[in-house]
Amino acid sequence: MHNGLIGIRSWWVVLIGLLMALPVLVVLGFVLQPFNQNWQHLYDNLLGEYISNSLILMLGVTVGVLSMGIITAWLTSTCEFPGRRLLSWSLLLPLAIPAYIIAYTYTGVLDFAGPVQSQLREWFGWRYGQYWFPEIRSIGGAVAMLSLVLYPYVYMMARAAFLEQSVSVLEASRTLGNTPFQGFMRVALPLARPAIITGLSLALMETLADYGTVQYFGVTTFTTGIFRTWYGLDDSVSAAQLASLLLSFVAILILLERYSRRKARFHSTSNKEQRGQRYTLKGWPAFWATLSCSLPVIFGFLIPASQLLYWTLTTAQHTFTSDFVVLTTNSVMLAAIAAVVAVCFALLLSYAKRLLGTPMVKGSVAVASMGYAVPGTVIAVGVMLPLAWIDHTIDQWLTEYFGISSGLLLSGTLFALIFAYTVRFLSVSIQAVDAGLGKIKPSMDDAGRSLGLSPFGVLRKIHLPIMKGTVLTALLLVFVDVLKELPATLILRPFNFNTLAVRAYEMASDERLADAGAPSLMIVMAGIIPVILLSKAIAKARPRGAAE
Amino acid sequence: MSVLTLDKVSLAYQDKQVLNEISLTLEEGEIACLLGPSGCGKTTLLRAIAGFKSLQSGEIKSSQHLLSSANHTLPTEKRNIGMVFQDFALFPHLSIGQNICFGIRHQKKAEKQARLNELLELVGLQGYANRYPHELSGGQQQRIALARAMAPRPRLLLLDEPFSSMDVELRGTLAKEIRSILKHENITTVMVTHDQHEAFSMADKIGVLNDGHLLQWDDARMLYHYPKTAFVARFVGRSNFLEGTITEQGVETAMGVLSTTAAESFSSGDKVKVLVRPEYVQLSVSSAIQAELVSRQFRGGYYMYTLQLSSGEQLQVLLSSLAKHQLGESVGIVLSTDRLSLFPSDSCATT
Repeated sequence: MHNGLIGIRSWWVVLIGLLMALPVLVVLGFVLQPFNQNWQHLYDNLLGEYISNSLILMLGVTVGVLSMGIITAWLTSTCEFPGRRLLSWSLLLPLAIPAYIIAYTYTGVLDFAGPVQSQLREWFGWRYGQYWFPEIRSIGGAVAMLSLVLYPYVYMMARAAFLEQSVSVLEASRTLGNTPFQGFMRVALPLARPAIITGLSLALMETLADYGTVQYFGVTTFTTGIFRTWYGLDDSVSAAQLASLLLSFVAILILLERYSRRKARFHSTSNKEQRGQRYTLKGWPAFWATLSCSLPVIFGFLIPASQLLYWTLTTAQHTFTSDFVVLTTNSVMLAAIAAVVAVCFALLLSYAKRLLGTPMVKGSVAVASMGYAVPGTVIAVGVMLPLAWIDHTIDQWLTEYFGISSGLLLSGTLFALIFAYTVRFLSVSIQAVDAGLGKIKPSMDDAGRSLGLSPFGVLRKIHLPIMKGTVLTALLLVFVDVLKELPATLILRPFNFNTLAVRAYEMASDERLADAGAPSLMIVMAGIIPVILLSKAIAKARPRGAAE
Repeated sequence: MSVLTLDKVSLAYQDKQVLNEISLTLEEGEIACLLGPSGCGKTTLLRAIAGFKSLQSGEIKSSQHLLSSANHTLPTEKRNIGMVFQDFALFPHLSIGQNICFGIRHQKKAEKQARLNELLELVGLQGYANRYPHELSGGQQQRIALARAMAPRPRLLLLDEPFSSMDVELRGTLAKEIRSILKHENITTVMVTHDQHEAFSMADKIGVLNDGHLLQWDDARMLYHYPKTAFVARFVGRSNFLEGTITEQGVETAMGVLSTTAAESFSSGDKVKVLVRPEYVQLSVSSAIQAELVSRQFRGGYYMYTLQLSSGEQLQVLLSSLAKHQLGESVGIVLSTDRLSLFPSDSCATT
């Protein structure tokens, strides 16, 4: 089948889809392997803990992100109070901080030698052991850390939903005898529910995928269990089996999300007649609104960012050496390559979907976009096992026939890392590219052709100029995500190959928190870029008239 | 007792005056229509009655209760006013039954059920209570929106461009249906539209607005035949304007001297425009006034001819299509009425 602009053939798309699904398929395949005695040990002693800890984390994060996300979203989208404009985009800032980094900073802030406890001791004359102070390195602490950096998902989705809601639907509830608050509870909130649940499920996927935070806080979950089984017990089979169990948690999450959204497409009430009028808050209500929208920004961004800056400055002399340059170069290079690869794949897949649009192509693209839901640890296991097998096979074959050993061609090299990153972050770029392509109506292609452009001319003169910004955005998003990624990098990196994220992790694990500051700060600074892009996109998407 | 009284209602956004001293009254059971071009202030007026907008001056009262004044705006939810929105604004997360009962949720279950059944029957959608809004066609959604607004038995019903999202054929049937429902229930209604045919088929009283002023408040026939301003004459129906000069005998025009009582409010020598509706002109073999047929459009039962008078002025004229006249032909014409509307010459310059 040859169709349209660049002659994309559907088997290419199917092949990419399969390639992207490979790690998950491999991991799932290990369920069929017989369980060994390590598994028996896991099952008897640890599995219950993994499951209960994961459930407690998810429950806690649900409460945390919903309360922070919905309240701030409603206040910033329907009320007017001092600082609203500044806060409505700063509330996204915590997204820039990976959970493991905020965990390091709060450990530094709150532990025995940290500024908070020292100050308290000084004020009240307490000594060690004479007072009780909450232990940050606990499951409660992990819930707090994850909630602080993950609530923006709920905030973002809920805010968009509140802004999109047709004003006339809310007005209709007024004419039927509801006060504004009753209208919020009975109409606005139920209508925003699908969006809120999407935000929540993204936050919970990140919670399940988290390794850095729970590992540092000593909370045993699936991800730490996989690491322990992989490295500690050197048992790849049991690790893969654990990974597939984790995948089933993710799958349940996705199914729940789909189920709750089954009628969502009918919930769109947006229309051209938008006349948003914010409720202007004055006095105490305004004060409470400003306060409740400031707290997440202060605790989720300002405090950890200041702590990182402080650490970076105090350790600057021995941190910024040639070693640090190598570290940064490694990270940037890896992230750049992965971004280019992911965006190229995304362009190919999105175009194929647009031009061919057969069920098989659509299915393959959907399979290729699954990675966002799969924890990095699982992908790493699923990438490592087949690549190691290929390496081993080639090596054996060469040794047998030519007497030379090829060593590790794929599994211990950057190829494995790039492959894993592409699987994990392809959906990020597909989403961005799809959105960009969606803006180009098919009639534009036809108009271009009717005005004498060749198919390639349409691509060059119409699509590329329109898509330029989109492609750049997609590149950036993947770039930053790769920079922040920790667990897959830990497992797949070549020997002695370090990145900023790995360095931060190693320093923190060595109890050298201050030395983790500089690499962490670099990651956070890069992470701010997509936050700015996001806030711009949100400002642009704001319906006309709903603005001030 | 009048259900709705507006007394010199004015409203401004920042420095732009949107409504200018609008006064009107509406009796129980009457259907009123606010008609005007977009931007004339008709929707703002409707929203002021609903309580979504506060007044700058003037008063809105309903059966002696003050709804709005310069320093008081009764919240919408306390006004007991029903509203049907342009996009219907049905709640997509609620079933049809839940939508209709939304405003009467405090009533007893049996009462609610009875009212629901009654309304569904009234709008001809029995058996739809458990469906969802997206499963219904536009016309059906419209009728549900009406039923929902009527459920709490409001003392006043507001309709905002109720047919604007319908196709032309549906508009006619729905307008007729909804008018008969409103009349059957004796509901006092104010609707807003920019389509005069909608206004004609729905309303007992029509108010024409332009630029924030209520130009005329009358029934459809009076608006058409006795417009008070040149704007109303132009906006409602098709209109020709003939140049005229007031004389002792009446008005001197290219169609001869026309005698009319309307001339009495002018003084001799004044320049005026004379409104000539297309149906006012008839053919007459014996007439001394000749006009040339310049062009024509077939309209089914009628032709719309363009006639050119000796003065060079052109008239649009509606004539039966049973007879066919050749273009370029000269015909004798007369005016079939002597109740003419005259406007000062300079008032017709603007459309």
